[in-house]
Amino acid sequence: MSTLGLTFVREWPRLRLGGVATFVVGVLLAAGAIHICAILLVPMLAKSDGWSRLVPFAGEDRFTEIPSAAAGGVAGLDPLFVTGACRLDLSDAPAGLTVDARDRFWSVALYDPNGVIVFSLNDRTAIEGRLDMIVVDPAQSAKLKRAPSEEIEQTIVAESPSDDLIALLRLFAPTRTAQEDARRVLARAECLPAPSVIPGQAQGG
Amino acid sequence: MKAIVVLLLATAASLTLGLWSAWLAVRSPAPVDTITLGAWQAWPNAGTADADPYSRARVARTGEIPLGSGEGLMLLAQDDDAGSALVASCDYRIAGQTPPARLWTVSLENRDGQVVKERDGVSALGSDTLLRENDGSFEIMLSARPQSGNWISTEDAGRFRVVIRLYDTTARTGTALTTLVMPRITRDHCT
Repeated sequence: MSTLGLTFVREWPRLRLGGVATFVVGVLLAAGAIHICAILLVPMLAKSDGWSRLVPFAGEDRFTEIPSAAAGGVAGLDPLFVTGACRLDLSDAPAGLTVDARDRFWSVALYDPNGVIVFSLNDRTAIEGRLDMIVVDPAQSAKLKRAPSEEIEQTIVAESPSDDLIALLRLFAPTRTAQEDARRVLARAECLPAPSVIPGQAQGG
Repeated sequence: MKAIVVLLLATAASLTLGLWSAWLAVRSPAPVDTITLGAWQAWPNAGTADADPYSRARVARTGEIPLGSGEGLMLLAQDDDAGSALVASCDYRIAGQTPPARLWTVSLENRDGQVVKERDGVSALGSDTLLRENDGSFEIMLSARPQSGNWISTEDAGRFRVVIRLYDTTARTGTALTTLVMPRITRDHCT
């Protein structure tokens, strides 16, 4: 920039138009660079991204309900749904999720800390309203493929590149009665470490 | 001296231009990586691994928690079909059809993405309780005063947005997105 600026000053009397053009082009180039930096920095600097807003409400080893936005919860969730969140840590063992909910729409999504949904499904995938699912990281997935255990034959296996995840369970609950029912489903839903699905780790823990 | 002034001027101009254009691209609702259908906008790439840097920045900034591809798709309208902002002092008619979905909901939110509350709960309606015409089309009135038929209260809403969430929908597949049919939003009368 400084060379451009100096050129501009030195040749001002003779090359007025050229100087202005240099200035404009210089500013545009710099603005473009700043624009790109800003866009790339936003995800790193943002403190109100989806993940950080979910973390305070995510239960350990169980689903906890996210209160409505008016009650201090998370904005942008469907008000006709009861939504529960559970934090998964795959570093020691895979996580097992179980949901049992009939006669209503529900869905499950797994978010990683970058806000990417690594896996999602809805109740159509469930067998008679029941979902059995395990979440594994790539290393656990490889072990599982080498020694498939019978235990998980009926289970949906989701692979996640990240060890840290939040599982979000959304249950359609348009009425007060349905909400109470959905809260019962949420309380019954399981979200636990499942070391036994990988044979080698079963003895260890 | 002159060089310093020019340099300062250039720096200030580039900073302003760069940051302002970045803000324009990631503000909510953002114009980047968007699918527009009449008054409706959707961000099908939000929250997926193929989201571009603009999408990532936008989602991080708005803090939205997008629906997964196996869950559904959110569409948002902040203006009516004529392009004027949705305000509570006017009545609106949302009429037509939605793309195929097992379930969908309409709700109102303010400009911060907070759900609009009304006296008996929230300003929202699910497709399960919707009254429809014989051909499957529907009409929803948005008004501060009670209306017959499908009605969502805009009482105390101020300036608002309409959000439609389609659940278990085929609308997310790439080719379907360009041919989606969304309901029209027309302004009725204003007080």
